[in-house]
Amino acid sequence: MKKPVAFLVALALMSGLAHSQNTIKIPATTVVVVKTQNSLASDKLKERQEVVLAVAADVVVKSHLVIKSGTPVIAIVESAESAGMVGQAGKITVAIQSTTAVDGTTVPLTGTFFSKGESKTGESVAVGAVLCPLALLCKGEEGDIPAGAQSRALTLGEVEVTVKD
Amino acid sequence: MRPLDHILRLIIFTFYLGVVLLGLYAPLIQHFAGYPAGENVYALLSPICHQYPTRSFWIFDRPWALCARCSSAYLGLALAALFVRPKYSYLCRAVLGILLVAIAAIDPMLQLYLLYESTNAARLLTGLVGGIGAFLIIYPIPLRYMEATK
Repeated sequence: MKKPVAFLVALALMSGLAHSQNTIKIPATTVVVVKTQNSLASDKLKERQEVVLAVAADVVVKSHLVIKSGTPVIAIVESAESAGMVGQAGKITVAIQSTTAVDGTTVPLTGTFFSKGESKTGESVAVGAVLCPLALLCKGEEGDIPAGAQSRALTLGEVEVTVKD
Repeated sequence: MRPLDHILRLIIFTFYLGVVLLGLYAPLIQHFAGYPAGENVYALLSPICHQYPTRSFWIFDRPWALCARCSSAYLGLALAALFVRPKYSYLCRAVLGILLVAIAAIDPMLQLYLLYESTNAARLLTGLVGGIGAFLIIYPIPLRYMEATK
């Protein structure tokens, strides 16, 4: 008598477990807000260098949390040009690559952070030509993405995520 | 002078309301037409606003292309062009405008220098106040000329 009862209890527990997990599809082009954790400057980073950003706000699909705020986001420095002589400004582009869903699934993302410093070419040439040629050695501002800057990244394709009820 | 006043107000109203509507258009067109529709509008408005999504209004799970403060400031400017007709000299209006802009600046300044995170409701309110203040400062026609032509 005990065995069938134990079997029924086990079955009930298993069905309960089965119901407590749910597969949710994150649709393509779902918005994921990404923020920088540190300042990203064009003179301190190199092309193809990996940088870690973070998800700035929970991503919820059909009332289920699929990507938690604070989850690391992988990004790559697509281009980084340091400021140059004759007042040339530096610029940096960081391409957002992917993040991780609550179940550990990798979610591919697309989006960019971009910053261009202020060019000082005009001042540099004018002062260099009229007053002192050394002014031509003057550099422009570096491209700098400040800590806490946010960008809108979009999911690339549909991703299935297992979430708990 | 009065027709000029009407035309100027209409131009200011149309321009700034258009900017706000563009900010709203980007997420709407992206929702209904799909990516990449709307991306050009996000790019177009990026030089005038930081577009931080957590500081923006959202519609259909997408942020507006202008943050809450910029949207309400431009809306405030547009509405002020229609409805704000104070009976003071330009100097008084400019002083009042600067005062309103200063009041509107308190919220972002606190956020910038203290560990304080504003809300979209506060951004909306201060943006509207700042927009009205900006209108009072930029609007060029001295009211006494308009009064004289009545």
